[in-house]
Amino acid sequence: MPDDRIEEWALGLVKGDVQAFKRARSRFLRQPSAKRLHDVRTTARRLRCVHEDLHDAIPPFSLRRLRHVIDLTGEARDAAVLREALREALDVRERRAARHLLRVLRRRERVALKRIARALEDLRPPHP
Amino acid sequence: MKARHIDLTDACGVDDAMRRIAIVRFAEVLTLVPALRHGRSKDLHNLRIACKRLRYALERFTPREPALLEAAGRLGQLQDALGDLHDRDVLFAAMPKDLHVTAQRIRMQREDALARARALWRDAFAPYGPFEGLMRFTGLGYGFGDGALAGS
Repeated sequence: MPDDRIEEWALGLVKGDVQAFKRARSRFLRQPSAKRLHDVRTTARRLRCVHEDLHDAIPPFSLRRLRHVIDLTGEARDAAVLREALREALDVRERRAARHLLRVLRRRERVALKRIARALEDLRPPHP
Repeated sequence: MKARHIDLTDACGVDDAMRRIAIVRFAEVLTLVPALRHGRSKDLHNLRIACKRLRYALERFTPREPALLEAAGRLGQLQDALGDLHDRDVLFAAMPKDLHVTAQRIRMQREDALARARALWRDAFAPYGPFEGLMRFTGLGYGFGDGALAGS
């Protein structure tokens, strides 16, 4: 095991990231928005990364549900970003041909947002 | 791409632990940098993920090691350029084949993003550039600026 100073430092970092994720989660559940979704995604990914970096120095905790949240936020984020990128690049003469894809992306985003809210309500953030 | 395990079991203090983490994560980035030269989507995506891991680690370390702040900022910019590129790749793959003009625009945007990422990478290794502190801290990255992108 690493020495006590490393364990104490590592635990402090993980606790900070757990707190940030909890705050982002509560804010999103209170009032969902694109910005708050981004915060949930970023804080969840930071937590996963800190776990990977400090694996040897912290007590074990499961990331299974957190990974599920990261995947779901990725689906919603991808759909929103792709829709925006398509709109931005779309030639007016091709608008009709792109309509179906735009609709599919919007639907995908809405479905993912609903699933995220459910997953976040069920999720108990890890206690390292 | 799975993150490499970092052995901290015999690390001597917090500074040594930070250095070990930065070395492994920076090495992951350096291994994937040839993607900027050949421009293959999958490899560029892996490079973006590796940049993100390194950036998150450096941001955690900056309160103790402020010299890493600039590298973290540059990795964020690099990550944004690679993210734009990745979004264009995903969009291009999902698009109906009859959107010819739009597809051409998306291809050009992708090329712009790749050129931006290459320029950010090259410039990061300039003397007193954004990676100076990171290179000193890890002892890695010397000769990786232009050399890694020769021919691109």
